[in-house]
Amino acid sequence: MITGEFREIVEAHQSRVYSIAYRVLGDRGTAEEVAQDVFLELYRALNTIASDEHLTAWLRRVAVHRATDALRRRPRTLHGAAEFEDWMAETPAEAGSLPLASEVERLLLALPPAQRAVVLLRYQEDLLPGEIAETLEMPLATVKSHLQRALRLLRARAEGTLKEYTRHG
Amino acid sequence: MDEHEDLEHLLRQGLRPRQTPAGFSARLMARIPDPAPVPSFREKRLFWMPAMRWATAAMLLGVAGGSYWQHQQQERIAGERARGQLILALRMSAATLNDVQHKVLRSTKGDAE
Repeated sequence: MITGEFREIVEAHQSRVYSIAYRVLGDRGTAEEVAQDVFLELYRALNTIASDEHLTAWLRRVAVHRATDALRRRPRTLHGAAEFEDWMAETPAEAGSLPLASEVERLLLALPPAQRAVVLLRYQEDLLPGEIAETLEMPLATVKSHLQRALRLLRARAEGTLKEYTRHG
Repeated sequence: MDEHEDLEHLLRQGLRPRQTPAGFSARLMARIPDPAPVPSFREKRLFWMPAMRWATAAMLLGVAGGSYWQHQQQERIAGERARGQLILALRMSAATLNDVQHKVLRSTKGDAE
């Protein structure tokens, strides 16, 4: 594979891969490491990629899995509402990012990793539940259940934060 | 728009793809291994030592085979040349003998007459 062609693939997909890694992990340094590792893995597996659709699906799947693996090495799951409020207060919004994006990302990071991945693929990547099930190699019913629970949690937690955007946006 | 749709709309808006940090692709490309990595001196030596041995053996075999074939060719040509000379000598001898025989017969006939 010519590195020029690979560079074009990187340019076209880096934002998607980095966004998945960042939103699963919540920190820029580790997200960049994971995103780079995903592309290096792609470079070695290029001869197995059959089409552009296959490439995009491959990148989504590997990015979610590698980011989740990195997350497992430093787990952080929030449970109680009070714990969530504390964490939101101590986690600063990402400098330079749009306020809404920043709020949504902070809310997302408070979800359990599996729900986070499902929400990301549904709303960042615009995948249908069936496509998410295929990407994450997860039963469709599990995907739907994660999505419902995640939306319920987000709605409850977003009361005080996202309502402003709903009113003004 | 109900509450559920509001939330979904906000999630879509808030989860637009992010920009990668500056220099991301340059740092990544620097980590890509060369398509044909140049072997180290040690790897080169390990590669060339047996290869040179085989090449030398093949060359010696080639030279020996070539000289044997050339020698055989020369012997064959010399043999053919000798055979040709022998046949020519035999033909010449036969012709000379015929001439002598004719002369003897002619002189014998003359004596009798």
